[in-house]
Amino acid sequence: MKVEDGVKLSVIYASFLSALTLYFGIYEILKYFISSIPYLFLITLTALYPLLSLRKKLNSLDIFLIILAFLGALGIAISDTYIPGDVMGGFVLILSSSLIFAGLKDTYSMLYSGLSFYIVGLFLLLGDAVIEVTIILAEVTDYYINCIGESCAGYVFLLRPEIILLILTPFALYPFFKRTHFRRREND
Amino acid sequence: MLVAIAGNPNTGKSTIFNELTGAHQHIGNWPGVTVEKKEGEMSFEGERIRVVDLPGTYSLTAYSLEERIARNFIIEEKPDVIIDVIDSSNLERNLYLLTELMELSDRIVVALNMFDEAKRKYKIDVNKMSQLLGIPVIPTVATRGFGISDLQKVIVKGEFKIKKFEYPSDVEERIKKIENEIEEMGLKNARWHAIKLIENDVDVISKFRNEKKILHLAEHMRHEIEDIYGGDIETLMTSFRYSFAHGLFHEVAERINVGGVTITDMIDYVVAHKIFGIPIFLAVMYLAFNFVFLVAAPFQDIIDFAFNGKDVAGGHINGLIDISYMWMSSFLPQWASSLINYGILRGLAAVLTFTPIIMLLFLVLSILEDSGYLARVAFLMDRITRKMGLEGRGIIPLMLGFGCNVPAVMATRALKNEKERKLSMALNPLVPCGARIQVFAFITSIFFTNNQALVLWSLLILSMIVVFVMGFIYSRTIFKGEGEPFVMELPPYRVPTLKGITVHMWEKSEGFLRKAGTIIVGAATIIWFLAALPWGVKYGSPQSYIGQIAFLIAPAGKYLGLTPQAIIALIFGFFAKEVVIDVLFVLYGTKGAIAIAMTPLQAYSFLLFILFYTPCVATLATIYEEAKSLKFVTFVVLEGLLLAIVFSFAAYTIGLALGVGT
Repeated sequence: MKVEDGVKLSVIYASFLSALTLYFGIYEILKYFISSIPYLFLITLTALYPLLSLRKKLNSLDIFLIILAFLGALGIAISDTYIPGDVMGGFVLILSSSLIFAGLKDTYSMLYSGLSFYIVGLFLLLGDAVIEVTIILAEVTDYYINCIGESCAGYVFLLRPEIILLILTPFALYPFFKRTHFRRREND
Repeated sequence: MLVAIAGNPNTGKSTIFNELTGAHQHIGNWPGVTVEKKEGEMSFEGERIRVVDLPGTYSLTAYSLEERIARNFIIEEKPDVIIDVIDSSNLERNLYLLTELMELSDRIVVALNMFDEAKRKYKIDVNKMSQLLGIPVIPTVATRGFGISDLQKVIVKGEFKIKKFEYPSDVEERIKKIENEIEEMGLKNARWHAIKLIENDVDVISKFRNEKKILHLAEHMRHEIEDIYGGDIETLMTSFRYSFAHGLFHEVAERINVGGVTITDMIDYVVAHKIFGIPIFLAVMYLAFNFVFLVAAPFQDIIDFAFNGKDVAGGHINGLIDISYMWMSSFLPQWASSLINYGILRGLAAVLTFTPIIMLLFLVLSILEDSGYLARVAFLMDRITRKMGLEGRGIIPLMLGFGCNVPAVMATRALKNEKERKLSMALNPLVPCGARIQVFAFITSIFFTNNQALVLWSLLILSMIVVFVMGFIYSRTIFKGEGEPFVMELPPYRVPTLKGITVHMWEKSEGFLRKAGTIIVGAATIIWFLAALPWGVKYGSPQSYIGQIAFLIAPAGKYLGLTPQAIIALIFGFFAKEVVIDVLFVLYGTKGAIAIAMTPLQAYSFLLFILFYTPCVATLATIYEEAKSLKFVTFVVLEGLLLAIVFSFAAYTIGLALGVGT
C-alpha cells in the first residue's frame, strides 16, 4: 500500500475518531448539568461532523461514515451509564477533537501544516486516556485500602469513554510515523 | 580600529567585505572558500578601520581548521567590533553562531544579509531583535550594496549593550564555579574558558593542562550536568544554544504560511497557536491536577491509615500514633505522651499525608519543564504578561510560585528592571503555593468530593485572573515603567530522563519535608498547648485557650462565612499554610466533624480567603530581604488581606442570595 493511501485511510479513520471524541466530550459536559440528554441532537451533530472535515459533496464513503458514526453514537447513548458527567474532562475531549478536525484536510493532502494539528490532537487524546487509565488504577487501589478492616463488595469497574479512545487512537497515528513523506505548502 | 567579519559559509561575508573595503575578491558558492585570512581597509568619517574576513564557520568548536582560525583570531587579536553576517533567509540556523560569538565578545553587529530573500519567507522584526540582543542589527542585501552605509555607521557609532546569553540555572551555577577559579588566575574571557572546559574542548583543556584543580573541577561539573540532563555534554550545550536561537527566532520572525519539518516545529505551531495555545495550556494543567489528586489518593489514605488508624464497624483500628501514645504513657506522664503524639506527631502526620500530592505535583511540573513545554507556556504568556507590565520572563517567578513563593520571590532577581521586580514580588503571593494547594486538597476532599479537581481548577483560574488584573492596574499606577525586552529560550521537545525528573522533583519537594520537621512541629506544639490549657479542660473544648480565642473572634468571620475555628486556623497559617490543616484537626478532631461544621459555601469562602490572604512568614521575610523595605512588605500583607476579604465576602453573600451550597 502506498504511503499516501495509508495516510488517507488514517485520516478517514481519524475523522470518525474525532467525531466520537466530540460526541463523548459534549456528552460529558451536558451530563454534568442535565441528567437527561437530548440524544437525537447529539447524534445528528456527530453524524454531520465527518462531512465537514473531508468534502463538500457526499460520496459513498461519506455516507458509510455517517451511518457508522450514527450507529456508534446510538450504541453509546444506550450505554449512557458509562459516560460520566465531567465538565473539564469533556472540554479536553472537545479540544482534542477540534485539533484533529483542524488538521484533517491538510493531512489528507500530505501537508505539514495539517499534520501538526492532527498529531497534537491525537497525542492530547492519548495523554488524556493514559491519565484516565492511571486514575482508574489508583481508584481501585484506594477502594481496597479503604476497605481494610471492613467487609466490602468487589470493585465495580466502569468503562470510561477514555478507555475506548485509548484503544482506538493508536490506529490513527500512521501519518505521524510517515511524517517524512509530508511536504510544506507550495508557498511556504 | 579592528573589525572582524564572521558568519556561516555562503552568507555573503565576502561580498560585505568587498563592499566595506572596496577590495576585489573571488566570491564562490563552495563552503570554506575563505579559509585564508583576508584583510582590507575602510575609512569612515576620517577613521581608518582594518577589516578582516574570517573563514566561514557554523560554530566555534575546535574541530575544524576554519573554526580554530576564527576563534583564535577573536581571542588573540580582540577585534573592536565583530560583524556577524547572517543569511536571513535561513535565520534560525544562522543564529547558532551568534550565541557562540556572544560568549566571546560584547561588541557585535548583526548584518541580516539576503534580507530581500528573507522577506518572502518571514516577517522579521529588526528593531525587536536589536532590543532583545542589545546590539545593532542591520538588514543588508550585499549584492546590491543595500544597508552597507548603515553597517559602516554602526561599526563606529553603534551602541552595544549586549545581553548575556544564559544557560539553564543548573548549568550557570556550575559555569560560575569554574569561572571564579579562572578569574583568580587572572585570565581574560573567564566565562568563555569555563564553558569550553565544561564542553571538553581539546584546545582549552590543553591550555589548562597544568591547572589540575580546575580541570578536575570542570570534569566534575561536566558529569553533574550530564547526569541531570541525560546526554553527552557536547549535545547538551549545543541544544541549550539552539534553544536560545529557536526562542530568538520565534520572538523576531513570523513565518509566512508556516509549515514545519521537525517534530518540535510541528508541535510549536499548534501549542503556540493564537487560538489553540491557551486552551491547550488549560487542558494540560487540568489533566496534570486531575492526575496529581486522584493518583495521590491511595498513597494519602495509606499514610493516614498508618498514622491515625481507622474507625470501623467493629471498633477502632489503632494507628502508629495511638500505639506510640499507649507505649509512651507507660513511662511518661500522660500530658507529655499526649503532647508528643497527639500534638507533634499528629501535626507531622497531617503534613505527611499531603506529601504524595506535593511529590506528584512536582513530578508533573518537572516532566512539563524537562520536556520543554513550560518554556512554551512562558512564550505563550509573553503577550499577556506584557499587558500586566512584566516581560515574558516574568511568568517564570509566577509559575515557580505554584511550588513555593520563597524561591519564586528570589527568582524575580532575573528581572533586570527594578519596577518589574517589585511588581512581580507584589503579585507572587497571589499565586497559590504548594502549601496552599495542600490545604485546598484537604478542604476539597471533604466538601467537594466529586468535583475536587474542578474546584481547585476554578481557584487557580481565579488566581490567574486576579494576578493579571492586579498586574494591569499596578503597572499603570504604582509600578509604572518601561518593559525590558529579552529572548526566551525554546528548547526542542524531548522525552525527559528519569534521573532528571527525579532530581528536579526531589530538589523541589525537599523544602516541604524540611519545613514539616521545623516550622510545622513548632506550630503544632504551640497549638497543642493552646488547646490543652488551662489544665483539666477537655482538649480543644470551648473552655481551652484556643476555644476562648475562637469565641472572641467569631464576629469577625460572620460576613465571610468563616467559623471561629477557621479563623484560628487562618491565624496559625501565618507560620506556614500547611498548619491550617493541623489546626482544623486539633479543633474539630476528625474530617467528619469538619464536614458537619461548615456548609460547602462556607468552605468555598474559606478556600478563597486562603487563596489570597497574607503569605507565610518565610515568604514575607524573603520579600523583605529582596526589597529591603518594610513599607513594601506591609503593602504585600494588606494587599492579600484586602483581596481575601473582598472575594470571601462576595462569594459568601452571592452564594447565600442564590441559595448555592447552603
